[in-house]
Amino acid sequence: MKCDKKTFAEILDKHKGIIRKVSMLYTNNREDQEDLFQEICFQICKSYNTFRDEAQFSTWLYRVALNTAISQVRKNKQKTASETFYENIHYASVRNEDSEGQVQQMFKAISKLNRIDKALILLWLEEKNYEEIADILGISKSNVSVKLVRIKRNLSETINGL
Amino acid sequence: MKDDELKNIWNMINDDTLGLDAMHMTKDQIISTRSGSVQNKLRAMLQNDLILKSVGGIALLLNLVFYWGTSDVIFICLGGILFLGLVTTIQWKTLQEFDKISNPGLSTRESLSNILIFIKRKANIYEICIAASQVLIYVPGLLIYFYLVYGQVKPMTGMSFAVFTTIALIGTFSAYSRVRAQIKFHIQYLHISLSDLNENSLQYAFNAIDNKRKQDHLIKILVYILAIFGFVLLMVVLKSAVG
Repeated sequence: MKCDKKTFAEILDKHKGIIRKVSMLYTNNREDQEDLFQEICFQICKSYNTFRDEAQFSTWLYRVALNTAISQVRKNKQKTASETFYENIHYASVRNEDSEGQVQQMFKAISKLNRIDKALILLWLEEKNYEEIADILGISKSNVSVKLVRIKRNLSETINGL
Repeated sequence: MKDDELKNIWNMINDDTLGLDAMHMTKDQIISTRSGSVQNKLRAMLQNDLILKSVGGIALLLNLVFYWGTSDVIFICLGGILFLGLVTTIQWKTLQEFDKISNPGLSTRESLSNILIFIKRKANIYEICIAASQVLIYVPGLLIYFYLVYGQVKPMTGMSFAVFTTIALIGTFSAYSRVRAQIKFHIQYLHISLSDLNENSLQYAFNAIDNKRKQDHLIKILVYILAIFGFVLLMVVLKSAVG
């Protein structure tokens, strides 16, 4: 399968939400978000011929997006400070203006997680079941379960403490 | 906070809102403006060096024309071209192999492990091939300089010989060290991610590295021989210049 311009536009149109959320979680400012978004799109297009129909397209897409985000080398380590992360979220993307604060708190809490834990919580928040998460990350279901319990507890504590 | 509450907050983010300029970009624009992941950095390192080597190759060919009739220099240039050809072939194959293994469509564990295994196996090849470029630029560059300024290879004193050799060695060693440091950084980066995934992932990668390294001795020996050949070449050119 080739990623021609039409296919690329379709993928981008249909899955921009996923790519955008991954880009937001793994960066802390607009410029880096743009960079990561582009990088994920590039990798999706480049690896499109390796996609096998037996896998769900969204599973494959999450793999590409998360693997790209996790392996992204930070240009400037200082920018990754979680304290500044939440300030850079694009508020226009929140459905209800009253909820901006909660979303900010959630992003701030997630920004304190390591790269792998971010991937786990993102997949869980995106309603992926344990089996799918295990498949995407290449770890066991029991490992997913143990890690998620810890991450959710940390997340709740952080959000409540903010 | 309950699971549903966390998910409710998450679902407040509106997927349809276009918050990034990149979303309006075409495929061509995205490809031309992409930034760097570990894979891209490593790929770019080899690609940029291949460009540098091609400049060295052109310089060697120019020297063949400039010094046609001067047997010592012709011998050096032909040797340099042979050396360049071998190093470039190894580097090109390494690049192709890297393209094959760096598939982001695999699971995170497989994807990160594959890159880590590859880098650990090929680190020496990366370092030596890139360091060799310094010699391949320096020697023909020096010959072109002599031709343009003196019209021939200028006889050098023992001191000049020592200075030129030292400069070449410093350049080669600093390139080697720079690449080594960059690769070390990428390895650390991958180590952290794999250990965050779980302890077995890192162990799995280490075992695979040990097994595959046993198969890599031949190519390592070949690259070391090529590196020595490069230095011998440098000595010959400078020695002939002294003579």
